[in-house]
Amino acid sequence: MHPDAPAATLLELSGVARHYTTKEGFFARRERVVRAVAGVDLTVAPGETLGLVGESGCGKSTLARMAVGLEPPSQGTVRLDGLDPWAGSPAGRRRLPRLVQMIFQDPYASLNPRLPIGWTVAEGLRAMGEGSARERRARVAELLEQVGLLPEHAKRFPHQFSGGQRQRVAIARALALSPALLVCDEPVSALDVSVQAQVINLLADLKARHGLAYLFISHDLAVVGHLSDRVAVMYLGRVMELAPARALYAGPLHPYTRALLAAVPGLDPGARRRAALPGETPDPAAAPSGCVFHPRCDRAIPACAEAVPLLAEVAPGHFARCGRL
Amino acid sequence: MMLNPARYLRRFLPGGGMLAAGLFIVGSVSVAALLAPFLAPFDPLALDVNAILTPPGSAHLLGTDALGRDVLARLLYGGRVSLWVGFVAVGISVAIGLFLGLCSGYFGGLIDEAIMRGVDVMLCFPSFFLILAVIAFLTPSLTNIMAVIGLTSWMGVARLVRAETLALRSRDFVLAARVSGMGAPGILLYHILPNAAAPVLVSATLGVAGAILTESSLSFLGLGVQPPTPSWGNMLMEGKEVLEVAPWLSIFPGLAILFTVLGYNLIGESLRDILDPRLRQ
Repeated sequence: MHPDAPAATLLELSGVARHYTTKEGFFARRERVVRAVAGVDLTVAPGETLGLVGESGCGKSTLARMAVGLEPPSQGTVRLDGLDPWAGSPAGRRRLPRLVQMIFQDPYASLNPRLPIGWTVAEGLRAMGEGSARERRARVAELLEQVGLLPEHAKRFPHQFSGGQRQRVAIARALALSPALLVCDEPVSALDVSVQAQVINLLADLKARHGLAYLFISHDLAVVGHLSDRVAVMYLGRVMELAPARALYAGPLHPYTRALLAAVPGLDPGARRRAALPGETPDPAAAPSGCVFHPRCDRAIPACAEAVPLLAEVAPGHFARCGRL
Repeated sequence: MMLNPARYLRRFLPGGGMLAAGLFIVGSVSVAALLAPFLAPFDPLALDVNAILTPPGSAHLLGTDALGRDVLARLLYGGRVSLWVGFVAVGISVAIGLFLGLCSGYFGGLIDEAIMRGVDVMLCFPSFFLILAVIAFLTPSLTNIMAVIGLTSWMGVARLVRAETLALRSRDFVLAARVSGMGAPGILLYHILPNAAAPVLVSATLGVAGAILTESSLSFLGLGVQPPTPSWGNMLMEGKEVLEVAPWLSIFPGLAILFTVLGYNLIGESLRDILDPRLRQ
């Protein structure tokens, strides 16, 4: 855990799973259960940044949607500052938008093309019935300045902005209600490389200024390592390794994390190691037995196909789900 | 299946020309109907026993009917009735279709199931005979006709809006609105409705043409607008008695219906082409 982090948790995922059932076959109806997230325990403390990495299809986005209360977990509970978005009174749930907001991957899809961006930024204020029209305008101007846009941009429409500017608008919208936690689902992967750094720096500045906590999701280990206090590595809906960022990058324990890190291209092309990940990500509807990673693992032994490993604390604060550690 | 002249014309007119032609026809018919009191050379209800069944000529531009009433004047006033019925009936059907389609698509589950089965039931009836049956029970007044046409033609709009809503409700900007605490009414009003409006506009434009035709058919059968109030449909009905001696009584209202419906169909079809992103380059 981050050394300065207070003991209280802001986001607590305990045993969270999400199953999708699809029906197949015309005559013989078969049910196929896709376990997009298969039992995840994670916490985010106030002010902490938890990075979440994994290949596409590993359940990162589903986890993000459960963390902001967009989707109910099939099993387990999600708690935001003790509040379960799927239980309790509607009045209690009205606290949710002030606790957590989300930044989506594609800023071309996350802004309504038919509304001026000032409206979009003020959406949360309007939904919560906060302030008069004039107060909301002042707040929008302040938010736009915070994310590096101009107050007069409020009247423009999304198509008049570049991708990076649109993502700034989305960030301003997320900040409007001063939430304690921002869930960022691949916030820079749809942007040009030159713009990515600007947006990441903006997120880092905002964190420093407002003491925000982030659940930062990405498939890019370099981006996550730059921002995160702790990093969780996901594979097929499970957390395979969880450690403080520095420890994870300096000494990855799980074979999957090692393979991912080995695949990160370095600056020196001669020094690049071969990616050690043979094969494809298995179908989450037919997850391998035992350790789900064993068919692609370079250290797998026959026992790996049988025993399901637990997420065990291998070193202080450093957890890994591998039977061979 | 009725031949759609607009579909046919599309082969020969480029998109812009189709829209312009449609707007021109609908525009001139609407202006003529609106300005009927100023344009009509005679009172549409005034009888003239000295000029019965006068052929088109200098005194009566489009001739007179069996009671000596001026056909041009009746055509202009009849246009007001036909267009008014078209607009109000479509207004009713779009309002119902939008509301049910939005609820069905956004809330899903049992609400969706109930509304969509209601649509299926309504579509089971041959709509024209349903309208005939209902009108037979009610008095055939203008208000009743508009209401009945509107209440029996909302199903297409409801299905269309439901499909659009289903596609829109999982878009990121709708999810973002939910995360911001926006409730269902706000999301439907600000995010879904404006983005679903384009296909509804197309369907409404084509719906006006359909409603005008339905009103004409009802009036032709004597179950629509009642004489002496002129409507294009009941003018046709009165004309059919004397078709052999006074064909102008049938030809002019028929042409008026043809061109008005054609105009709305041209606008609807070209709007569909313009708004359909798959057809756009």
